[in-house]
Amino acid sequence: MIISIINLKGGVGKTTTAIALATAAQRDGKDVEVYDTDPQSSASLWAMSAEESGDALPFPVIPANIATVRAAERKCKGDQAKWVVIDCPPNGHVMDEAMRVADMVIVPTTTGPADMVKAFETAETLSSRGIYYAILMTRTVARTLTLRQSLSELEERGASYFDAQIPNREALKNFFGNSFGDDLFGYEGVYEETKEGLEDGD
Amino acid sequence: MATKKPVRRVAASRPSDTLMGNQDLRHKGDSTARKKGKCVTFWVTDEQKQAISAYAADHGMTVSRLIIEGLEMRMNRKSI
Repeated sequence: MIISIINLKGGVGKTTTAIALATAAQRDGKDVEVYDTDPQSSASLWAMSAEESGDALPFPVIPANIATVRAAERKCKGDQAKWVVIDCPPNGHVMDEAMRVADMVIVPTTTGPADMVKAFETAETLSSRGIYYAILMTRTVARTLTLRQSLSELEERGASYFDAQIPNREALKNFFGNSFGDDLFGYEGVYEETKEGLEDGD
Repeated sequence: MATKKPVRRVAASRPSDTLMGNQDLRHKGDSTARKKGKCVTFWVTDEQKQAISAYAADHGMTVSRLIIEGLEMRMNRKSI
């Protein structure tokens, strides 16, 4: 399966989503690779830093580009046992290629209006192309007006979104450069929904 | 002063067929910024054209540059 993590806006939690989702998939017995297509190379830095501190990630993080993304399509598109999670930059043609090859696109966004605008643009392009996707709300704060407004906006637009949310937790930020412990900060639910959605799609 | 309550606005523009189509790439990136100009057309005689072209070629400049510099020199002088 190819799961592309895309949002036209930066700083919404794409890399964290890629690493945490890959961790959940690996723990569930999937053969997982993360493709880092972002020139900022945050996912690669995460993996390198973890390895150097003796706390290596349990899956490879591979610097990738348009050619390797296309190759992934041939190797594992539609394969339930092998997952490639593609961490995308917020622009560049590799992002469009990652969209094209994906079995599913996850669109992380915070509840901030600037992030939501770009999430909706991303989602509408995906929807118009008939690509299976879901918006993932990150850094949420429970029982706030902003979260309620965001959820009602998702409903009003008929957008596809995860029931699971990633709450705003300081501890999550500090996992950069480390492998995750037992707590996946809500990504366990994201993985279960992703897996169910992909299985239903067969 | 009363506290202003923000109005939440999340209207997305019309989606493009491609993700990159949603990004505004005009005048972005690492291209050399070029000032937008106006095109001015005027007539000269054949003799003037030949003379201007020859002068510009002798001095390693384009005809446009020669004319612009000439105009700037004229306009910057206090009296001529």
